[in-house]
Amino acid sequence: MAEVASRESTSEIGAELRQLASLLLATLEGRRKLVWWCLLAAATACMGIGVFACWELLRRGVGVWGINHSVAWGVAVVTFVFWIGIAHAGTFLSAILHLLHQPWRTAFSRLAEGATLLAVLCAAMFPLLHLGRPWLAFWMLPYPNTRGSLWVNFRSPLMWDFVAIATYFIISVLFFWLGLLPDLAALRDRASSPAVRRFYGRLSLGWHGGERLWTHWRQVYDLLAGLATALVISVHSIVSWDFAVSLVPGWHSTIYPPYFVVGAIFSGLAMVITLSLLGGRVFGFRRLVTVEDLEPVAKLLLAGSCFIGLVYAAEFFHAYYAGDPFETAVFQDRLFGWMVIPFLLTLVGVVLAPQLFWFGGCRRSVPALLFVSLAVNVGMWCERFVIVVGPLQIGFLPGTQSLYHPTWWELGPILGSLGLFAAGLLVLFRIVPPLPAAEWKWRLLEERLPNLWIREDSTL
Amino acid sequence: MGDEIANREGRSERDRRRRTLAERAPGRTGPVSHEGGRLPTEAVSGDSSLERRSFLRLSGAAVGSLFLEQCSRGPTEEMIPYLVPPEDLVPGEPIYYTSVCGGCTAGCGVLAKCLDGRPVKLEGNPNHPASRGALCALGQASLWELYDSGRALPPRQAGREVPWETLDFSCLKALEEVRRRGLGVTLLTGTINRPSLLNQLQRFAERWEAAWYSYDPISVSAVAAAHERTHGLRAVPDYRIDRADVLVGVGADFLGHWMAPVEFAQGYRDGRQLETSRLRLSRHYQFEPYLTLTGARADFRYLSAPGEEPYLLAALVRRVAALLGRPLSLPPLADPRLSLEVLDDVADHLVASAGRSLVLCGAQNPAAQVLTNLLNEILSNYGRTVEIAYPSFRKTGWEADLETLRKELAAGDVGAVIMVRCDPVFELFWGKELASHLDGLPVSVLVADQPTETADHVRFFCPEPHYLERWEDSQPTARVTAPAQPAVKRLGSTRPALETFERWLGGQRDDLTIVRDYWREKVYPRQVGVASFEQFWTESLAKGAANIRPERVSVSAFRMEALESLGDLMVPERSALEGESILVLHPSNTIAEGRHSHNPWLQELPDPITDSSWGPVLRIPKSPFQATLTAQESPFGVQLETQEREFRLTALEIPGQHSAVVAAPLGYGRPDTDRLQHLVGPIDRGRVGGSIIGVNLFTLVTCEGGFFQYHRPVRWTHTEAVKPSAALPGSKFPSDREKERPLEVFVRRMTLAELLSQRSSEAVLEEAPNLWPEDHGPSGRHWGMAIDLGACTGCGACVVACQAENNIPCVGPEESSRGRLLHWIRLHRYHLEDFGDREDWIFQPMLCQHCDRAPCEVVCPVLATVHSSEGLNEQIYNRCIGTRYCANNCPYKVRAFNWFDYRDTYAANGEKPGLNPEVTVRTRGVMEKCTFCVQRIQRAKIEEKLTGEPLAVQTACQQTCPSRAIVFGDLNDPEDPLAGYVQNPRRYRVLAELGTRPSVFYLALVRNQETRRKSDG
Repeated sequence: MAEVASRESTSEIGAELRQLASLLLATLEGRRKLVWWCLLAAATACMGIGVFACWELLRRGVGVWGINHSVAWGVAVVTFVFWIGIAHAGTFLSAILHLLHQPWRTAFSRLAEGATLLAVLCAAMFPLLHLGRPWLAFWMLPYPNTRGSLWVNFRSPLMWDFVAIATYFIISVLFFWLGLLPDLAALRDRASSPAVRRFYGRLSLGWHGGERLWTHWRQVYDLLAGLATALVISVHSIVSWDFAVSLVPGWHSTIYPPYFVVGAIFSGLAMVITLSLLGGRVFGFRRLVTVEDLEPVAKLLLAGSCFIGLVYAAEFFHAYYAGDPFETAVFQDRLFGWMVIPFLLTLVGVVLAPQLFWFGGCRRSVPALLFVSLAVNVGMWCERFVIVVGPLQIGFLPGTQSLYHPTWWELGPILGSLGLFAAGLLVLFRIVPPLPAAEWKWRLLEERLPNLWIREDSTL
Repeated sequence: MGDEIANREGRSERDRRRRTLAERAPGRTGPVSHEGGRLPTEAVSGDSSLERRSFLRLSGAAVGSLFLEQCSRGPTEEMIPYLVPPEDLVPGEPIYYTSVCGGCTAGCGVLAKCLDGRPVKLEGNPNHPASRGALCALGQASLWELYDSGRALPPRQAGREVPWETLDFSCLKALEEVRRRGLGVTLLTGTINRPSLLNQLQRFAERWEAAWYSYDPISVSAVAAAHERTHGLRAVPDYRIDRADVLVGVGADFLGHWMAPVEFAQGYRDGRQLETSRLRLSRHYQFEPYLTLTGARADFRYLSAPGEEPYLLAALVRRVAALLGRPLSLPPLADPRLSLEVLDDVADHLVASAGRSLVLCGAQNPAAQVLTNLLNEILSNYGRTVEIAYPSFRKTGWEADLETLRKELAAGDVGAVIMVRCDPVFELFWGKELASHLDGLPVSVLVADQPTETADHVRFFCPEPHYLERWEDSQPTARVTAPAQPAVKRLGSTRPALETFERWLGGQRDDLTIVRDYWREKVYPRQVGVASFEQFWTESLAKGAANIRPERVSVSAFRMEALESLGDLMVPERSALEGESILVLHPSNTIAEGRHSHNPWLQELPDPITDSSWGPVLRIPKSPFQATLTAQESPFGVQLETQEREFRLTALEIPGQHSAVVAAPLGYGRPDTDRLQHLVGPIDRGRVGGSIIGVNLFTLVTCEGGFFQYHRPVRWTHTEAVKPSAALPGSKFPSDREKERPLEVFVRRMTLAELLSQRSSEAVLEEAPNLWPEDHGPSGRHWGMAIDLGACTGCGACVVACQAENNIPCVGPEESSRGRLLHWIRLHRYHLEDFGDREDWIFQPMLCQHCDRAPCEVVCPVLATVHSSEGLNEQIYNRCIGTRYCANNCPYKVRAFNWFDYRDTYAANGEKPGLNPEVTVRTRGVMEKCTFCVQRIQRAKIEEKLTGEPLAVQTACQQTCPSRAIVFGDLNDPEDPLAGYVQNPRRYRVLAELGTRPSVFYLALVRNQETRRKSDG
């Protein structure tokens, strides 16, 4: 029943595939661009500042930060939640959209997956740094120890958090690596020097491109995608439980898990837009991925923004309708109190800015895309600031209300994490292709041979 | 082995070199150590000419062994046990010594708890008749000064350290020279109510024909002056607040720092007993210009401007006299600006409780004081609530004579000034002038236990030991005489004043002998019951007070003629001009008149009214009349201007203040407080150069008619403050933001009628039903606490007591202003406005509530905070990794975090030996909080096991509380005194609706505010 391709067309397709592969993989070869070097230098400088701030923090104690007894969690936790949110885009794009057979995702799925790994690393830094005694962080691991019956507290949301993020990181690494295998093998085959060949050879785990290998690969990829889909939902739900499970008015709310998950994917997608636009320039695939490819993401952003706007409204309504005076105080504070400026920034960045995407022109304009995606991420950081710090400043007892001002030592690690993220991406996509070459080849094959998949499936 | 080598002959030079290497190895002397032992043997085992290889091998081994030495344990120190151990010293067992607190002149009894020979905590002495087991914040904090690194100073002569013999010799020689030249010798002291020291000083004054002046920085001399007029005795009476049913305070902050806060608070509490079956609730009216602790406690509080007291009292006298039917002829005085109904009500209640009422006046105005005496006289309060025949010696200063001293000094008639336990250069408004005189005098002596500002200007500085290091005695009132014994050997080369004056009088006795001799002669004859002196002495020491007949002083009956010259007694005052306010200078609520302003425990204690610490705050009225200022957000900088000088202070709007009055605390600005900047807080933060904490406002005190005046008109303007003059944690006065909050979940009030009608709070305060089965609650003991908001005066003694007991470090001004105080118990203030113009203040001690369903426990990932089987919420410091989630989830915010390593500061300020060895010193990065004094519970449990006696645990905060507001005990024990509180209809739990089930209960505040007094009965 399959239409057999003619020999000529097969060789034509082969040539096309080879051309595509060299286009995609060529981004790794040749001299680095000046812009790449400049960005790397800037990112390293940021990292240096971050390392200095962390060193001072570890030397003198967490007191160098501006947190106090009422507001015991500050911008470190805010940034932790922020990075975990960013880390959701990769898995969302690769896993959920893969299962939903959305081919447009391949334009930036690799970028998103790489960003996920680095964002998780950046995020993991903050809970460690903010500990009073970070050198004892391993006590959160449930390992057999000599301390008798002393064990970790599985009732603590921090414990769940720790497990969830560790799982997510492992799955993300596996997923990223698995998706990379064919590309790594291609790079191995293209490598000119034996050292590079050996390097990619080791990483590609002996990939030879046989048909059964492809079949197994696709099965595992689907399976992992299924697992990762569950994680996309669970990780940020669990992060939200850090807050929702507590007693603090303004944190203690059942709306938090969906709110956090959508917020996370939303901020992650915004980051993907930023990265695609910048990455195209830096890594030289500007002509391969165009603004048209980003249009579905822009639409998703718009949807997310509307959803989050709805959640904000719901939160205020709940506070008003429940009539709990402490919760009311927290939300009044957002409108008229100390949290006004961060909350207004949140509204502008998260709810208002993406409304531009109702217009097709904006969805396809690079400046608009860049502006909105940056605004969304600034807004999302502010939103987490409002969520984490705001309720703590208010609290229950009037006498314990206390203002929180971050110190420079506290902002240093944030800058450092941005540097780590940027430098990590710059280096990572000099080693692996920023675009999933294998998937692009499959897409080309599908376009040229529309019945290819049917034949594949029939053999299964 | 080294010697063996040395004896060997014919060694080469190289050998000798090696030998020195070997010698450096450990084990050269004494027993041969493992790592060093083998080395020399090998060094000499081969022939004398060593191969290169073996040389290298040996050098390597030798160098290596040097490092091994570094790895070995430190030098061995011999620990020799007592050959004859002291009979009563058991390591780890505390010994309590009775003594008398030297924090102020109130003379409260203390028990100094000594562990392994070091005093680590002061407790109130329950057997002391005046303080009855309580101690104020000042008293609690005075322990710190024992270990103060800035205290133990050798004697100094002209700035140089000299031995005592040299100082004595040159001082006496100089004194003789002064006498020979016909110049005056002057003795200048603060209040000294130490009988044996007074005796010494009297002998000294007689020997050198010295004129004796005394003053109190916070003076009450007008009270004494008035009694001189009305009773023929210049003395302050002993006020028996415990006997009063109706109290009228006119500017007298008797629960604050007026004479004897502890005794007065105890007496005040006696008058307000609602937990017993015999209900007693006194009625308290307070007239004052700014909010004091006393005013915050009063049932009725009215604002009156300073200077208005005579008019107010005259109006009251007229009403009371009319009600009593005793016509009096008073000189005409204008009516005060108060509603007449108020005065009628006060007079009505005073008359109804005649003989059981008390009028107290704090004004430094003899006219007002004479009127106060008149009121107490016609109400028959003398002999009942006011004892003038058994006077008080707590404030005996008489500054009227200081003018003479000032003139004599200026005229150059004085050759010697000997100052004892005072700091006139700092505390007198003409201190700078005095300092310049002192610099030029041939003999200027200061006998004091602190290197004060005066010490810098004297020729002979005689440092005294801390009061816990010397023998003395005390007689704060005619009823109370107590011996003061040391609790520790003297730590420095100091000498008690008793011995100093003994030497100068030619004697050689030590302080103990002096006190004993005095007691044998003067005190022993007055003892009750027959006993030998030795027995009397031992019993007095054991009890902490002597059991003797009080000394009655002869006084005349009330002299009505004193009223005739009332007009002459009025203090002339300059009324405030347009644009001026009246500045009221008051003793600070925390550091009092400033003699302890170098004490970080007191500096860091937040002022219960302003919530500020580490500096003075200018209190301005809530709605200042200067319209330009209302737009400013409080706190802001303010410039105070008088004719002579300007001050910059941080101003806070405080409710309950007369609109024409601004108030500022005295006692700050002592020059030695700059060292505190290095002594507290995280010392590695690179702070260089300190600064003096606050400004000295004593310079604004005036002396009118011979009485220190603590109020004067000033002009004040808004200014850009360079830096705040005090640490403000950032929270405003709660009333600002609490409008939208239901205050009933924090603090509750009831009227007396509500309480009497048994409208039990149970109906009102029904807690939410508990969905959890009560299956794992504490079945044996369940520790709990009850705090009576009706009793708490907000004095802060509990805060400092807790700090001393639990080794809580001071964090310093910077950290305080960031809201990082480590106190385990703190005072929350609430300001409630209702009934139109009626305002209400409540102080609430807040500490870990030891919740049965503790929200902190579930969220800790490493189980560092857990629940004990006895209902305690326990914090395990060495398990804590510092996530601070527990602090976030604590609704009461009672968890304190160690942001830095504060252990270094202990070492830096010499406080280390004073740490309580029973309590862990916390490291950086861990959470801490109230433990209900678990170390005391454990000790009591061990005692119970050993002796079988029932458990008696008192937490540190409970022990020290002067108003007995805190009760601790077993919630599961129906016999426990706590049960009466927990079942009281006034009881409630803070934030009960959260379902945390705290073990700390609060008792609602009850004020006696019934408008119509019930018929007597």
